[in-house]
Amino acid sequence: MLAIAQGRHAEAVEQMRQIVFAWDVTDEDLLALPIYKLEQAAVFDALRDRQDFRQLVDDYNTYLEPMRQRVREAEATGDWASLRRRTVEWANETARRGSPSSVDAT
Amino acid sequence: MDEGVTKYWRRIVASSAVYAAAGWAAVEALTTVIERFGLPDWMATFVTALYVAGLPVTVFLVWRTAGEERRLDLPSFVFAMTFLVLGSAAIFLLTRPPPAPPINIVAVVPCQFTGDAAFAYRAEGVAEDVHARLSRVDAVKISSWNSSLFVRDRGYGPRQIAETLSVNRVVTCYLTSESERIELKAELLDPEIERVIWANEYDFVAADLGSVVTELAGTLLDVLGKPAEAAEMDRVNNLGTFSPEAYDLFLQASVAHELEERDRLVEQVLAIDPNFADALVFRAGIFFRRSTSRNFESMEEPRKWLYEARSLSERAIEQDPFVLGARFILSRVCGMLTYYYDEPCQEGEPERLREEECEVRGETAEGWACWSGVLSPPEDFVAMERWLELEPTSMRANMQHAWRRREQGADFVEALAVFETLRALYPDDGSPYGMVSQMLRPEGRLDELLAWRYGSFEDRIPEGSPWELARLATDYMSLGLYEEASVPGEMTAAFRPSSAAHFMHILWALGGEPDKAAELQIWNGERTGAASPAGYLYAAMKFAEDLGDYELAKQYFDRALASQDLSTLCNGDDECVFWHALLLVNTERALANEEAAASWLATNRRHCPCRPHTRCWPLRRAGMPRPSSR
Repeated sequence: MLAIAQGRHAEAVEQMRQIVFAWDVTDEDLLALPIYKLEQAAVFDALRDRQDFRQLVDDYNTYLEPMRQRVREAEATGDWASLRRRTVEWANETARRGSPSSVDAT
Repeated sequence: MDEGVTKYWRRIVASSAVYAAAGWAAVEALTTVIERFGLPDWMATFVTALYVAGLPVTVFLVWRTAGEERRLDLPSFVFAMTFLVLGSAAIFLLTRPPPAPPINIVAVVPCQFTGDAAFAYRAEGVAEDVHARLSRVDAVKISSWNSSLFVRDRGYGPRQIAETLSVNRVVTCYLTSESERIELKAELLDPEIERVIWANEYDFVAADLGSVVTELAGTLLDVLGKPAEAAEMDRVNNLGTFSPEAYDLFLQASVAHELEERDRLVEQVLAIDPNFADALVFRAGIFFRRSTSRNFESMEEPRKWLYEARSLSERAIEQDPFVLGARFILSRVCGMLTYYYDEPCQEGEPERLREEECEVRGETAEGWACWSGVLSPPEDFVAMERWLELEPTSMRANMQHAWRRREQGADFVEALAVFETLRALYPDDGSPYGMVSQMLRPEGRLDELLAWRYGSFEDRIPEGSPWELARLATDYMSLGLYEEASVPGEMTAAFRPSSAAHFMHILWALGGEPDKAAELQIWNGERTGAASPAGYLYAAMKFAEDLGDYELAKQYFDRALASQDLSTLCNGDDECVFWHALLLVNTERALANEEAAASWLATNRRHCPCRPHTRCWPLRRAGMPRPSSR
């Protein structure tokens, strides 16, 4: 936000990219609502016309889209167990490999 | 006497004396070796038995060989050896210390009741009081009262109780009550073999209820073989009130379900005996809960309840320094007044109160739970394990323990196993899903989080749980599924607008209802701002950051900063000043106040924190956790 206020917009977008895709940010608001913040929050109005910011939003949506599809599918079929099985498989895999981040969420 | 005979007897005596001395030295030496090498204790016992049995054998053998004409023949030798073996074995078996009894963990479960339903409260109240009194003796390892209610609610039998709570003694009781007459049958069971170890029946009038409970607790201590120190025994025998009527009413209050009913009953108790310490704490707890659980028109009302809770807790401690819960309430009141009302208590006061509370709770599940929140790592983990031992069904203990295990390097498989255990124990409770959230959210696995936490909205959300509804709405929002988020979001707003105020304005603004969004934030700002400018500051932040309504943001910033500057409002917290100054820059710029914007930008630069992406909460004090609004 400081970078936005100071007009260092390219730097601001790069910082946002790091925050959004780092996932381990401790702030609960950022974790809970990042896509909203990118798409709608007033604090980012100054960045909306920038190509790199739009690219960030697109990249983030691309990351989320498979997850949205799986949620919509689960909503439609009532089969939430498949999604839970993914977690179990991921947990076993991370236990075997010893590093959670090495197993892709998508 | 013949000289030969004398010599003969001298030889027997001398040989025996030599055996006794040399043997004793050998026993001592062997015992030392056994101890040093960590060998089993029974070996020392056996060596000693061998030595004792060896003395008559030695006398016999010397007698058989001392005279010139005497020679040791085979039958005598066989006899001596047989005697030695059998004698040693007999002494060993007779003198061997009994094996150390296993550490008994005892559960006291609510009585089964028959009789007039109006007096059913006595069945739970009596058992709870027996439990409380046994808990006052450190030598008694007793599972938590919450565990007792857990197994009672599920209708478990003794063996299931033993398996679920890992106890090997169960106190159970049967109570029949018709107005003034009470019949009580109490039993101590060994659940493993389903055997009654001890039982007694009491037939008495209601006025004697307290003294019967005292007698029962004392007898159980004897039967359990748990010695109590004199001071502990005083506390076991302490009824807390002079009035049987107050005692009976207090039992009724303590098991009543509705908060208002509890308050009505305990008010009657205190009208009879205003110095009944447990009742004072009980009412303080009701007042504290009132201060946190309602949506008040202004923040003055909860402040009044906090003051009342503090006053009652202090009186309770005056009456009984060992009363449970009073210091805990005082520390919570202290935190709430500091956070919401800017009325800080003395430096270190909450910490001191919490530690004192842990002390008076002793070595109980509640005591270890207390210490697990007070001690620093790694001691807190030890307390957590002791707590789990006495309350294996505890949601909080299991979750905290699992999370600490994760920090210690345990994998997600272990965390998921704990989660599954908790889900099986508490199928209707959404809390375990917080564990999965903490596991999956940092990994960006948001769809799976939704699947674990809720499955499907209609099936899994406990009715009337605005907290769970709010979590569901924000989980959908984090995926950008705003339409799906709006259903639980609207329900949250209807049930508890203070929870909805964190996110619902966003959904309303997105849905083309900015006025409704602003209204919610105005309500929230007025509600919290009435007590402290922090509320206005929070609302201003929402207007500027989320809604882009800079005119409203400016109004609320001005109200927040009317009586104190931003640094004071933020208690000197650089992160807090940094973020709000930045929002003020945006706000002033949007309103074309360039000069003011430049000034706030300068403020922002002066307070740039080390971690510029971290948000802060206004009035958050160093080391002070944000009070829960649940």
